[in-house]
Amino acid sequence: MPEERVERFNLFERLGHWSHGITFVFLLLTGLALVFRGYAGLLGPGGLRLFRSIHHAMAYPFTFLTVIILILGTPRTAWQWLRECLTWGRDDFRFIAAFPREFFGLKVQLPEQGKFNAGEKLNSLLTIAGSILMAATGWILLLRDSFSPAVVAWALPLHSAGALLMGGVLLGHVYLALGHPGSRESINGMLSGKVSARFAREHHGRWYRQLKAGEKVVKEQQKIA
Amino acid sequence: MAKYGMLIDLTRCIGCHGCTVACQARWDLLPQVQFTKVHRYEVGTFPRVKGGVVTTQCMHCDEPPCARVCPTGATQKRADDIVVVDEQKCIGCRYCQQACPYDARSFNPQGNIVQKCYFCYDFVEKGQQPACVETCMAAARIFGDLDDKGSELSRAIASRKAVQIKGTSIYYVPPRNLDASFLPADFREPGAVRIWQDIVHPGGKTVMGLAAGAVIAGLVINNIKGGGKNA
Repeated sequence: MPEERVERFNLFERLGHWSHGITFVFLLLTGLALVFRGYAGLLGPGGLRLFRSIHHAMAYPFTFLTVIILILGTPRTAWQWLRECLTWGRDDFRFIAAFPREFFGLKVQLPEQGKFNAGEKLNSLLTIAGSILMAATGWILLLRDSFSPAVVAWALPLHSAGALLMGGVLLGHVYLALGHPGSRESINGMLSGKVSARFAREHHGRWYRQLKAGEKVVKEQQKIA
Repeated sequence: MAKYGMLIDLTRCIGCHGCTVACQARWDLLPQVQFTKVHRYEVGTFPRVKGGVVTTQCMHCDEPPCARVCPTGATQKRADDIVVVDEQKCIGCRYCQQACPYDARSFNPQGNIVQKCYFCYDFVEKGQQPACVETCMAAARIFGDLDDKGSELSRAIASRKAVQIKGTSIYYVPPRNLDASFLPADFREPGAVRIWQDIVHPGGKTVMGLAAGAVIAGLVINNIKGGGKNA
């Protein structure tokens, strides 16, 4: 009997995630060439000019595509996601405090979590804030002639700072999605949309119970009908 | 090695823009790209009005922030103190333009590069004068070796009580009608450049390095615990 699976992300949530993820990785890899001198030297002026064109072209989907996909495709779940990210309880803080041990594969008891655990909420909030910062400073740099020199001068360090911090966050994000034995089942939620029922129960207990309770209600309503 | 510098005697400058144009002609610049500019000032209220002229250009700073932020090494300070841009290496990121405290750099939209006054280094190497010096009919500009105490430049700086813009290679004799506050300010590295290069870049690289280290440590620990085939 195949393992029971439950849907965690619908098609538009997944498309929104990947349009953001792919454009961000392109922007990061092309942008970091201006931070790491060895990398810039390796590419040479021709490579760097090509990277600039890619970087500037990616600015458009990075800024607009994900927002459009989420708003037009799945506004209800996107709103729920935002609301959940902004709702922090005691269990969330306890989760964050205990999570470093889990990250390094040490034994730890984590408090029960909803559809998004506190780490995912923190990652979401950092991503939203970081992306707004990167898009705002990036567009200032692209349209620099319309801004005062002081604004442009400060956009540069902010753009660099945002890129390097978000780059660090991305490394942890990719590790948890692909490498970490406890959490790497979550990548399936972003590929097929479904995760194993066991993973949902063990990692997102509160969400799993609500899901089951919802199914029960539907079934009973069908019975009554 | 010479240490090149320039004196601009603003008591002689008449603001004819000859320097701007001669430079553009020699370097074949776009009309909107001007390596040396002429600014006019008026002080006082009518009828007691006085005017003056101040020219500006790349100051060939001792510690040029433009060279510091350049990610490709296109902008460099040479051993003879001239700050140059290797236009082949420039990728037009325009970091230097923002870093320059004297607004002395221009973007060339045709070549997608940033340009500025080069002190006519290749002509100077052949023993010639920079175009602005050569053309100045009032002989307001003197170019030469600051290290050579006997050079025309060094002697003029001493005899005309020229003001050095500190941290740069440029000296002015202030115009009679204007005080030294109308001259470019002494060199100071812009705060945004300092924070960017001294804090953001090393700090950000550390954050990325720590994140990478944590991921590797996590992978190693999980692999050891799972015996290579973890759950």
